[in-house]
Amino acid sequence: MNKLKSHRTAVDRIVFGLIILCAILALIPLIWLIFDLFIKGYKQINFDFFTQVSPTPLEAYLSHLGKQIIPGGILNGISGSFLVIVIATVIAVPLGILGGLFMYDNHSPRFSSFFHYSIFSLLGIPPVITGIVVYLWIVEPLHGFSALAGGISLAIVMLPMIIYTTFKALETLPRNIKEDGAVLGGTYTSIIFRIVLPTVRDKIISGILVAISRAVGVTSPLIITALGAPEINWNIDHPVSTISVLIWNFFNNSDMVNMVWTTTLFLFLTVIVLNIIAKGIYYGQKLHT
Amino acid sequence: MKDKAFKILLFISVISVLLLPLGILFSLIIKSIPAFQHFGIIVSGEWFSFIGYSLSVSVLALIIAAPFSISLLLIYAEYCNGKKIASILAFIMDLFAYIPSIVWGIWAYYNLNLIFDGLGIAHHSFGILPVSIVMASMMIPYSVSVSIHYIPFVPRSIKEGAYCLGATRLEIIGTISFPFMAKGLIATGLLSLAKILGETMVVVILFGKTVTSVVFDRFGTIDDLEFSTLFVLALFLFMVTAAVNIVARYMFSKFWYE
Repeated sequence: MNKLKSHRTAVDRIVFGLIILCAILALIPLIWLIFDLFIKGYKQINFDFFTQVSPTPLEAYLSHLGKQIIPGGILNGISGSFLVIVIATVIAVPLGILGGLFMYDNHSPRFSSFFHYSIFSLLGIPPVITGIVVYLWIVEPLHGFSALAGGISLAIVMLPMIIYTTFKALETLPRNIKEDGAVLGGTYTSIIFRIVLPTVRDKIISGILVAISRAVGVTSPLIITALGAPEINWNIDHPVSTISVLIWNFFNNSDMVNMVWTTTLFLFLTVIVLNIIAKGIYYGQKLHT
Repeated sequence: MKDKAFKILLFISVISVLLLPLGILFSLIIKSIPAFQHFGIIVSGEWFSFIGYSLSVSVLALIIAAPFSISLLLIYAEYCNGKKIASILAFIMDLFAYIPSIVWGIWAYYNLNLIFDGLGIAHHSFGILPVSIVMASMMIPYSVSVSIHYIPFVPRSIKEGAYCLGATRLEIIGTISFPFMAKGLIATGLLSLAKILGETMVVVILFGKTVTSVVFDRFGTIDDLEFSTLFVLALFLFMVTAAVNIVARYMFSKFWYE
């Protein structure tokens, strides 16, 4: 009996050791990624990086020859990302919240499940397909790459995420909260806007931030629809660069390796910071109630 | 009156959301008709190999990622359940789940170049195995984060009962936790598979032979027939990822409401 027991605990310990080993191995790429980004990316961080537009190939070539820091920055990328994400947010947030409300508050089971399935299929759509479809819908009819097309493709990426997080947030509400509102004499609209939505406001905001952090990193549809531009541009019918498009442009020029790393570090930190803020909002709300 | 207006607004937005996937499907089908007329239903030769590469990279990446993801999940759910390290682990996985694929692509490209040069292997692009490993390391945080959020874990009382009967942790995992989580693990695997299939920038940078990267690389082509064939590939990809997503999310919701 004793022997049997020790055999079993030994197996248990060995497996536990293997699991710890696997977990540590799985964390290696993550740690490696962070260190690599910081070690190779810090060289180009300076004031110009945030205040100048991207360098021309000639400037990059000359500084590469002279082994100097590449002049210029990514201001056109930052401004373009901002513009495109504002467009996408303006489209996706109202539609997303209304869609989430519908998903939560629909009484026809067949139509509701159809809606669920279409959201699920949108959640999994590969970004590159969003890009080529928006190319067909917007870029071809308007005869040109534009920030608008980029914004719409990002909106398609963000929309299902916002719908789904809104729905998930509403699902945590007590089932009878609407009846309570009705008992107090509220109309449907006032129940939704004064009871249901305010209760889950922070969760929805955090979901929107996560969707934005996802949109910041999206690359392939933007290359197909917004193309990229060497200057700062606030017109929605002109091509723009975003941070991720700039990474791709820099990557295709072998003189700009340092620029690639720094821009990638910047993108990485942006995504991480947005996600941490989203988490903070989500859990901050939990502490209060 | 306001109610009526709001309900109409709700209805309009829902219809427009519903039309989106249908519209995407419709556009892809319309654009791929010329290629179907020319080649028939079966996509031939070179194009077929892209689908094969896509599937093999994804499946290989999934196989590589599975043991690591499951280990991390077990540490979260079983070994360190409720301890501080579990919540730290969940936090890290959530953060890394949404790292853009271009960041992984850039990181992998320069480091794989260093490694290949260090080993003295001449290379033009990287093979299936290195790409799958990169994809797997990118997939691990995503799958762990998904499974932490969506899989319901074994109730504590059941586990305590098993401990009282003298079971070791491994026996509890093998006989209680795994059967309990099996459906959820399969659903997570399917979601991850769909995500890897749709991943673009990593394969564009490293490999260039999968469906997504071919669609991306050759999109600027002027040849009408080739352009149309790209839409056949896109249509295939869209249908596969949509189907896998629907099945996986359905599995999650099924036992979520049980």
